[in-house]
Amino acid sequence: MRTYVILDASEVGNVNFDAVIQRSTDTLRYSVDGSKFVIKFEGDTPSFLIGEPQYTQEEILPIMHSADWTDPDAQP
Amino acid sequence: MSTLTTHTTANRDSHSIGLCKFNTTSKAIEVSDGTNWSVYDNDLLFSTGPSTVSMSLDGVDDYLESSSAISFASDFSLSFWIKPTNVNDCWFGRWGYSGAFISSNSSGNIQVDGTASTVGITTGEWNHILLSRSSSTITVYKKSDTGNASSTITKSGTLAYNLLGRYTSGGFYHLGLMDEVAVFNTALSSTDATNIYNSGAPGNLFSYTSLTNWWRMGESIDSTIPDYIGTNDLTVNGAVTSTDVPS
Repeated sequence: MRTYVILDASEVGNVNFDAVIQRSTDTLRYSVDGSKFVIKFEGDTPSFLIGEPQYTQEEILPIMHSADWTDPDAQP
Repeated sequence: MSTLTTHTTANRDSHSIGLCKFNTTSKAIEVSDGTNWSVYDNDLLFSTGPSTVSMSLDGVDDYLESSSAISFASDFSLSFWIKPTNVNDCWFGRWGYSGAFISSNSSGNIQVDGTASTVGITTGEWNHILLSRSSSTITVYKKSDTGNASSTITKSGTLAYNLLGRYTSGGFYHLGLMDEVAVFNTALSSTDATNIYNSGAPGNLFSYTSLTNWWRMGESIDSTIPDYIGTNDLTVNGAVTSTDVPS
């Protein structure tokens, strides 16, 4: 099962891409204002994410659909 | 004469340089270089059967990216199967182009680059979508277990996409399944739409001489989905395979 974590954009340099599902900074999803991004992993919590709030997919989807993460002014 | 030993994707052997196996799941020959599997499945002999797997996207940040833009300058057809959980998510987009998208809008209607059709998507079930452009008229066909619909929209000029399952920015990631994406360089007919739908069971498209790209989707290995006709392979970003397929 996947686990999701939201981090501040300033922490992107601390991401160990060998320990998460995303492969690079280019593939990350950022919030609409660019201040946060999502990271996800399977299995044990990577050391750089210990202590951060974690979400299941079911829990994070409503957050992703909020105006902070989905731009209400975008066309689709 | 020697015979390859077999394995499956789920039970794939550990990597060993030069290890060569026949994958009984994907019907492909796979060779390990010690780190990744290289797949030899491009002779069109192993891939003509029904879909066995699709791609599942998590609606958070999963997407697929083509190595070059899927571009339509004149007549074309785009066929794909989609099983969405929600409306208002994006199936095709393009980096840096906010006006380039194929999606369902907030009412569930299928739209192309901001022009909505009157054809609605059905959530929770497999929908076959065929967009067929002749001159500047795109006919949108949607077929599913619960009903068929079609309508036309007007859209001229070049259309181009390189993202599957997401919009360029601002959210709208696809939550659901995607399978059997195909591109044709002609405008297909309503009869073709019916034949490709095949009563809900996608079949062999090789009989279409206008077929230029065919991504069977779940039949992927590691991080790449092969283009069985062209060379425009898809890179997988987070999406995983699912055995939920149109049938």
